[in-house]
Amino acid sequence: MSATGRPAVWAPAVWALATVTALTGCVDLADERAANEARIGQRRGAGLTVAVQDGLAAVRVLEPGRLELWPQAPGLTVDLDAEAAGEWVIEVRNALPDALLSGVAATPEPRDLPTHKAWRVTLPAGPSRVDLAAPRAAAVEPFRIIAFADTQEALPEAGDFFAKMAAQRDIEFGLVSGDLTDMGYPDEVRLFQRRMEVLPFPLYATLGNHELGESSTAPAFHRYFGRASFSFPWRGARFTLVDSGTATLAPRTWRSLHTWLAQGRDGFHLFMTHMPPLDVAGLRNNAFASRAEAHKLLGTLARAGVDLTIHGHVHSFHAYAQVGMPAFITGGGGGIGEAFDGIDRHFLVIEIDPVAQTALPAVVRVGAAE
Amino acid sequence: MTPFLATALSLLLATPAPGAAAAPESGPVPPASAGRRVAAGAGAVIPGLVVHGAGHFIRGESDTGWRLLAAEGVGLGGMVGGIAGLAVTGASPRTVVPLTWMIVQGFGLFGVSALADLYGSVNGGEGAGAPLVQAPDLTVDLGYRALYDPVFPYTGLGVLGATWRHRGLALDGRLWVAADHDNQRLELTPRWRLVGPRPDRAAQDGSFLDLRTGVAWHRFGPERFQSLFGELAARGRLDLARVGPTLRGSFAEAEVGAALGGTQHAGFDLEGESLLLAGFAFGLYLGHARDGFGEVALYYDHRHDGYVGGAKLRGLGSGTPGHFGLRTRLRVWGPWGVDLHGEVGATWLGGGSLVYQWGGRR
Repeated sequence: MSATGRPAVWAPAVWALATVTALTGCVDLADERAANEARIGQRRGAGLTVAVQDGLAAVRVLEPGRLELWPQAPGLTVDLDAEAAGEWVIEVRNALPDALLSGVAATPEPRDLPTHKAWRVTLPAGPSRVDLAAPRAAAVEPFRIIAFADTQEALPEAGDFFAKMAAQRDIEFGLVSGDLTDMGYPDEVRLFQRRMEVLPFPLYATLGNHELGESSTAPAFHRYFGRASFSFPWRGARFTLVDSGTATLAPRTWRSLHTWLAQGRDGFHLFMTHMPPLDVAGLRNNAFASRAEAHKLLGTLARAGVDLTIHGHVHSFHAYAQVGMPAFITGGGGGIGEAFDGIDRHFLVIEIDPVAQTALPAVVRVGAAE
Repeated sequence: MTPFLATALSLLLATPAPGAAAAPESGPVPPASAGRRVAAGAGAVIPGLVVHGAGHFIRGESDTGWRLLAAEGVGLGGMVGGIAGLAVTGASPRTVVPLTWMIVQGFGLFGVSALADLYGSVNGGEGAGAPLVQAPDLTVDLGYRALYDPVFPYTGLGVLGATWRHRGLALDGRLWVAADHDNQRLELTPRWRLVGPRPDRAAQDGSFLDLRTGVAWHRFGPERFQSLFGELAARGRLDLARVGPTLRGSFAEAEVGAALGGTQHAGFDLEGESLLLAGFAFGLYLGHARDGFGEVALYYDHRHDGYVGGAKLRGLGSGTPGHFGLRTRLRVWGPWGVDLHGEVGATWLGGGSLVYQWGGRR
């Protein structure tokens, strides 16, 4: 108020300005990240243009004679356009151990890790296409995967966690529902990659809010592991992982999701986000920022025939139902555990029958929780 | 009201400033030179944003400064204690409710004490607006809110609201209808005023304590679901003249509660749901006319339902926090006035309403 008794306008104006300044752009944060993500899998350099279909791999290295990819799916199709014919080494990390490269003449080269594959190829000048696939990709029969999340600050001491996963039999691949790291720094992402080296199978991951500590729009996760929203088929089933790190889905991701849901409508379809759309404990709301959006998503998934949803973020294990869909929260990677829940570090081994369209989970406890 | 909140408010109320509690509007306001006010205002920013009350110490209002510093300490204690509790319990559902209330109200006390220091240091209560000491019998408002929602296609809402009061009872109703989408929300909120201004009984100032119930129904036509919540909450307002004379014309609010209900998607069974209610506000009374009305408030609302939902933040913190807003109600002519209202959460919402208010006096 002024001394004249007239209402002063400075106070509300300052507050409004402060509020607007603090929150400007946050409503669209996820879409900025999704726009950046759309460029993953496309690179030009060293006389070669690389385009990974559907962005299902990060181009980690592109230098004269050498291309390195990090897939987020068991199978890849990569369009290449070389300025001149020449010999290249195509390295694929995070690959299925029995993955084969086809489309061009390829000679395998040995590498130390089962999930690290390499081929020496001769690329013609101009366009060519290579495919990465495992022989059993089309065999529609039961298979087993692993699911986990939230290794976070426990990652440096997570050796036993990864060793226990490595000891599981007949695992095709693992799905990670986010919070691999504590703050998303590059050295943490590299540490996660080193932890993975004990695994005889690849991991496909979406990001969590803890991957956004360094950057909310261009996280290191993108550079190392690729897209956080993607979908792929495997042996008659479809797997869709979606970035929910800002407690929402970006409008671009919503548009992609409709395509993926249509592709997975007729078979078993597993949907994964880091944040659960709804928390099992609603009063806590470790979930989407908007209940309205959460219900819009769940209704969309249910009507598209999604068979199972898996989430992290809550450091516990919960089996429940959302709009009639079975749902699991598995956040037992080592982040601070939920007290009084009777469960500590754990991961899920899930047997999926794509013919019967069923999924049977088993909780595997780790360390003191065993 | 949580024990924490009660403790915090008691701390503020326990030692009223001389001449402030008994007659807030007539309390003497110590004069301050323009230079002193500028220095106090600057001090309320640096170091005042860290040491709340610093502006008042510079202004020579050390009693109020100490109270604001104490409020900051209690607020910080609530935040740190609540966060530590969440860390220790891993946000267990068994303990998350009181811990979240502690964090929200701690943050509220922290924020309110900072803003109050800034307000009182610069303004010193001079020319401050006056609260309604007798509540209006009837208030009706009709308006429009523009929306920017990245997920839903609606861009505008018509809103009709009314509050009818009889003695301690207030019946609130509010209907929101999307102008360009098949979407409606209806809120019915009976409240009982335990303490504070009523239509039939004047209070000493604008402070109040309400116990409210409520029902909120929200229908999303194209998305084929609808939600229904019943809620119970306590909401209080404290005129900050009770804390110090320089804060005359400002107020703080706090709310705690919970809602239970469910959501039904077409073709699927109803599924139960719950919602934590909490919030705080800092505001100013506007104007002096005896038959007038007006106030402005910056607020935090922990709700995640409705059109705005919770905040999407940079970094790690999205999901759990609610939304922020700014509301202004100002008399324009006779019983007529305007509301200006904006909120930011998962959505931007902003607009205004025409207000008719019958009864009430300052």
